[in-house]
This record gives sequence, C-alpha cells and structure tokens, in this order.
Amino acid sequence: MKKYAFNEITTMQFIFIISGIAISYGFIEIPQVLYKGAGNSGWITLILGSLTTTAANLVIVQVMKKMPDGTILELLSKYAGKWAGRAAAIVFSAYFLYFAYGGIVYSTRVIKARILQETPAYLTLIMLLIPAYVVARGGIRIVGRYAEVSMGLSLWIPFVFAVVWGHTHWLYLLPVLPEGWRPVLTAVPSTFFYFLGFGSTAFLYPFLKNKEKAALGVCCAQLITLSAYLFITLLSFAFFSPGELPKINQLSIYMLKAVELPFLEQVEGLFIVLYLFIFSMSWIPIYLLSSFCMSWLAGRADHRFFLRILLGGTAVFSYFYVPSFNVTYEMGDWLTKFGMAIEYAAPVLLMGYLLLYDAIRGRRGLP
Amino acid sequence: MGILSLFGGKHKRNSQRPTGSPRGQALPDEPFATDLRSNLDKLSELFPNTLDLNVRRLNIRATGQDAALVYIDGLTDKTEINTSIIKPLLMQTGTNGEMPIEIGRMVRVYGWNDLTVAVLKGSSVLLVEGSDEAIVMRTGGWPQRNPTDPKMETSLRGAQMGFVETIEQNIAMIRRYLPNRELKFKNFTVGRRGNTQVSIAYLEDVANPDILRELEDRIGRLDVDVIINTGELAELIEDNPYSPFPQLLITERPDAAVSQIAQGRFAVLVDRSPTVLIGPASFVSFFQNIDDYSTRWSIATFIRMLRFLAFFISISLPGFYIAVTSFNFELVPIKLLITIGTYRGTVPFAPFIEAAFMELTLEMIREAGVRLPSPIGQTVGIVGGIVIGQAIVQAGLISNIMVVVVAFTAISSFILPNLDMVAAVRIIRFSLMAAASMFGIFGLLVGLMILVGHMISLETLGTPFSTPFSPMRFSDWRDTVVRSPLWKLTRRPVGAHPTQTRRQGDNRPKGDG
Repeated sequence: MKKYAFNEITTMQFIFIISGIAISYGFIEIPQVLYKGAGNSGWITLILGSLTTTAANLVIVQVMKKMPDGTILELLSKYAGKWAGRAAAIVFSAYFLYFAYGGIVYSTRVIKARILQETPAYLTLIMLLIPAYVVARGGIRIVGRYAEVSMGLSLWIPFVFAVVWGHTHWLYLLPVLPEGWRPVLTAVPSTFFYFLGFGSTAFLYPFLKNKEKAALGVCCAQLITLSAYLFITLLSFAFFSPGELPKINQLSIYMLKAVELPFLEQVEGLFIVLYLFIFSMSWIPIYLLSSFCMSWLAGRADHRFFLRILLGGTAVFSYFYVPSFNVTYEMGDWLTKFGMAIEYAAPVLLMGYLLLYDAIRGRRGLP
Repeated sequence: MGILSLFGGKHKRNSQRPTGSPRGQALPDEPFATDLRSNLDKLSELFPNTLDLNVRRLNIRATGQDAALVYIDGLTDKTEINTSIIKPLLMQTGTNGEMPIEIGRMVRVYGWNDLTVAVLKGSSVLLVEGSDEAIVMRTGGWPQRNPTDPKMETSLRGAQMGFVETIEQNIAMIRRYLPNRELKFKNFTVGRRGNTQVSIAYLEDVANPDILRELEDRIGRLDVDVIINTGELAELIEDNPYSPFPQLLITERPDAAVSQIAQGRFAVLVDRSPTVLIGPASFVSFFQNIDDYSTRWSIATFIRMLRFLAFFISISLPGFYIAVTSFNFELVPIKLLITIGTYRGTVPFAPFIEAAFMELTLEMIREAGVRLPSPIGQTVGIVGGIVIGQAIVQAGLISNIMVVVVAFTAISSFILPNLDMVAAVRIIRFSLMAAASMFGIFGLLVGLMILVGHMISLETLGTPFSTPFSPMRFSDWRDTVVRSPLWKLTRRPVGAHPTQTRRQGDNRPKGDG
C-alpha cells in the first residue's frame, strides 16, 4: 500500500529541501567557525565534513531502502517493535521542533540586529510564522515546491558576492596547512552543525517519486551545500585579513558593506531581507516534519492540527521570551550534540541493527 | 500516479447548494393526450397569462389532421416559421409518410416537460390531433448581435472577432479554427431555472482525461438557479475561491481560446455569455497574449519580461516607498533620500496614510472611468489628472514623489494583459502596503513570502497553478518569461498535462547552405 502516494516530490525538490535546510543555517556563520577551528585551511575541513555528511546521508538512504513506502517511523515499528517507532516519533518531533525553533530564533535575531532594531523581537518572530503556516499547511509537496522557489529566487546571491571580488587577496589563503593536519581534522565535527537537516531524508524518502535516484539526489544536495559553503568561505578568507577574521561577527553580511551599487545604499540590509527565503528553509520544512511525527504518533492523517498547535505555541511562547543571540549560540551547541547523535550516529547503528536482524532471520530461515 | 494524485483535496462545496426544490420546472413528465383539445387545455394551464405564447391552429392539408403550432413570438424566427412550417403544412398535398415540414433540425418529444423547455428555448412545437407525440422544430431567432472586435482584449495582429452571446455561434467560431474530428464538445445544462447550456471544448487525443473528468464532475455537481455570466461559473468551479488570484482564464477571443485548446487545455463555453473559460490556467498564462505569437520572438520576449517586471512593480512599489520612507532609510542612496526629504518635509501625513490615500484615489478614478459612459469618462480623467497631479501637491497634502510612485504603479498595472490578474494585483498591493507600514522592508518581504507560499499551494483543476516555476519544468520555460521562437515550441506545455505532447515538427527555417 502506498500510504504517501498523494504527496509525491520530484528529485529536484528533494535535493533542494535537503540542501536548503543545511545552507539556511550555515551560510552566514560558517566562515568564522572554520577559521576559528582550522585557520586559513578551514576549507579543507569543510570538504572533509561534507564527505562525512554525504556518507552519513547515504547510510540513511540505504536504511530507507528497506521500507520504500514508509518513513523511518514505520521502518522502526516494523523491525524494532511498535514502541520503538513511537519512541522515535517522540524523539524526532522534539528534535525537529528544537531545530526549527533554533532556526527561527536565529533569523529573528539577525533581522532584529540588522534592520528592525526597534520592533519587539516577538513581533518579528510571529510575522515569520505566518508564511511558515501558509507553506507547511500544504504538506511535503508544497514544501518541495517552496524549496525550489526559494532556491531559485536566491540565485542572485553569488552575483552580489562576486562584486566584492575586486577586494580579495588570495594570498591570505597561503600557506596551506600551516600547522599540519591536526587542527584541520579536529575541527571537522564543528562543521557538522551546519550540515544538519539531512536527517529529513528519512522522512522525505517515501514521498520521493523516483526512489532509485535518492542516492544521486543526496549526493547532489550535499554537493550544492558544499559548493555554497566553499564559495562563501574562500571568499571570506580572501576578503578579510587574518586579523579581522576572528573579530567580526557574521562575516558574510559584513562583507557586503564593500558592495556599492548606484541605486542602493546599503546592500546588506536588503540582502538579509531577501535571504529570508533561504533562512525560512531552516524552519518551514522542519516544523512540518515535527508536526508530521506528532500526527503519526497520534494516528491522525492530517498534520495541520499539530502544525497549528506548534506554530501557535511558538507564537505564544515567544510573546514571553525570545532567546538572545548568545542563547541562540548555546542552543546551537546543544543542537550539534543532538544532531550528531540523531543524524550521524543513529543511522549507522540502525544499519548495523538491520544487517544483524536480516542475518539472524536468514539463518533461522524465516521468510 | 500522475495528476490523479493531485486531485482529492479542497473541493468541498456541498454546503453552498440551495436546498428544497424550486417550483418552475419540477413537473412530473406527463405524457400527452391523443386528443388535441385536452392538450391545448393543458397548455393554457401550463402557460397562463403568457401573452407572447402563440398557438396557431391549422389543418394539415396532406393528412387532413387538425394541429396546433406552439411558439413564443420573440424567441423565434417568424419568416422561417411562416415559410418552412406553416406554408408547407397548409399547402403541400402529397405525403410520403412524413410531415411536410421544411426544417433541418426536428425531434419528437413525448412529455410536457420536454415541450415546455423546448418552447421556452425558442423552438416551435407542433401538436397533432390523434397523436401522443409532439414535433419540436428548431426555429430559434432571438435578438442577437453580430460578432464585433473584442473590447477588453484588443490585439494588433489577431483576428478582429470576439465571442458573442449565442453558444452555437461561439462553437462555430472555434470550429472554424480547428476543423478536426478530435475537437469535441461536451454539453451540460446548468441551472434549474436558467437551463444554461455549457459546453466543454477540447481535443480528445490531446487533452488529459483526468482533468476532463474533474471538470465534468465539478460542472455536473453544480446546483444553482441561473448562471448569467462566465465569471459566475468560474467562481463556482475554481479550486480555491478565497484566493485573490484567478485560477481560470477568461477570454473573449476565439483565437486565444483555440490556441489554448490546441495546447491541450479545456475551454468552457457558456450560453448567453460572450466570454469563455479556460483551464487549467497557470500563473504564467495570465501574462501571455495572443499577440506574443505573431510578433517577432525577441520583441515578444522583451514584452513578456516587461509584464513580469510590471507585475512585481505594481504589487510592491508603494509598499517599498512606505518601507523606505518610514523604516529603512538606509537602503536609499543619500541623494535620493534628500530629494524625498525635501518633498516629504511639508506633508503632514504618515507615509502609509499618504500612500493609501493616493492609491485609493487612483482606484476610484479607475472605477469611475469604467462605469461611466465614455463622454463623461474623459472628464473623470481630466479631473483626476489635474486634481491629483498638481493641486494636491501644491496644497502640500501629498508629496511629489508619492504622485510619481502612484503613476508608476498605475502604468505598470495597465501593462498586464489580463483583467482578473490586474484586480488581484490591486488587492495584493494594499496588503503589502499595510505590511510595509508595520514592519518596513521586512514586512514587505514577509508579505511576498506569504504570496509565494500561497501561490505555490494553489491548484487549478487539480494541477499546480505555479507550474513551470514550481514544480520546476524547464521544458515549459520556453513559453514563459521568454517566448522562444515558434520552431522551438515543438512540444505542448507539460503544465497542461496533455496526453500527446508533440505539437509540431522542426520547422526551423534552414539556410540554402
């Protein structure tokens, strides 16, 4: 039985959802993180991080092949018992909720800091929830379309950054590996945070129209993420001097101060606002997935009820408290820990479990 | 799964159905008596006080029977009745077993229901003594208009003929373009009192049967009193009636309708209405015009781009102005900011009030111009031009820049070729202005995000409204923002879900090489 047949997504939508979720979080912060971790060779760390992520993501695809018509929750129910599925649904929905909340709060803080200083943060955040509801209401299919549109509408970003090309000094990138491989390797786990979100593969897989292209799609998605990160990282490393790099917050935005256009005074303000299309990828699909897990747990077919509760709850909660920037970064640290456990480690363990399960069953000769 | 999987949501409209059975047409279908006198008594009982109902008693010379010819005066063609029915009935002697009637379209009916409907729709009915059937003859001749050039969708190169109010003529106009066996018309009768004939026109070997079924289903389910105009039908059958966007295209041009039918879409013709409904319509189809295909492709492409730009400007420019003047001064180059400041300095209102006032005035001028008879309509233009353009600025109520913004928006919205889309743009503009007045450029962008989110959620006849852009279909991009050369358009747009995709061969002009 194809339970999710009414809600198919194309391979391109699949790619854009996965890479959109990742890029939305990292594009603004990642150069500095890399520089602090691995110096001017941070871009090598990035490539290594990306390779690890691709591997983890492929493991998820491999696991999901066992259950082409169901999500990871159905898979767990089938192979590890009903309660394992339910426990996983609770864990996933909590994780995704935390993930989405972190994303929306971070975006709110960036907007508040850069363009809407005087508007209360909770109002900004509530405004951001409205498009989230409009899009996520329609289910995975609409979110897939949204991912396509938001990526398409953000294709101008590289061109804006290309304007700063004249100010770059590529010598800053030399020497490569000044302190050997050690800092580069130890910094790899710090990049994982910015690749998170690929766990959504486990939920998107049954909706995918061409399942045989899932592995290819995953590779493409990670490649897009990697190239976006590499682009901004190399550009920042060449644009800022080694002395400036650790001191300036949000390098990607700051870099745009160098851009001068005849019809626009401050490019970075407009950039942040337009970047909302990408930013929103860090919470719109994730809120949907969280509500999806909850409705799966409750046995409801319609995810909208829980979506309304989640978004409404976020709005009410935000009226009383919106985390500040520093708290956001702390939340990010926690998210890294959860994310590494859930998205990197758990799939590998699950794959081992499944192999073992099949082996034992095969020896017993059960069908 | 294809588009079947897309159906199944949203179309719940049961609660709108009127309940209870209206009297009018709800007679049980009673058979005729064989006796002419009792039949005529029954007739006068069915049509009391109907002055325009004409009952002509006559004696058929060929058979010697008494008969009565029943018709409504204003709805029938009197010359035809006189020369083709009454004259042969009275004069002709010989018979070969058939009634001597010289009319092409003629059917027999056996009940009063059919008779009343036929009479009320302009046919003549012959009741004969000793027979329990009635002969219905098509003699329709109600007031009609000749096809004139379309008023709203003018075209420079296209045909100068628009649809008229009679469905037969409209069908004929479509058939003239496509003399093809596969062109099919599916007929429905909609409205319990109106009995409006509605026809779906499509190419059977091209159009998608699933969409046809959906469309048939929606029209078949309608339970309304009367449909006056195509717009009413559109509102009743479209997917999301709460959206500002039109989801079905309405056109008054036969050539435009035919070009859509040829792409695999469906045209719905409504009797008594000079416009035709076309679906499934995507967002892009509201930016296409029949002239695009008869001008050079590079120029057509330029105009298409201009239209999309105009769409964007006319929804967001006033909002942007409000955002910049009340929140985000930093976005504007300093020189421009100083200019704006000098003019705005004397204006006593907040930017939102200023903009809302001007935009509302513009809408009023436009609406006044539409409804007024044309000699007075010009006066409105002059009054609007002088008062709004000069006096209001000199009085210091509104800044000069605002007038420029308003004029720019107005002109941008005039470029859009589809009236329904222009109406949508007007509504959206005001909401974006409100958002910008509260949150500046951020509010404007959140508004646009909501708009995008809404647009990609929209469906038209169960297919995505925002098609070639999302879901992304690169093959359809050839006829969107760019209008590729005609020889490149070898395939029908995937957005119409045709079952036969190949449209034409490679007609690229080859050099003599």
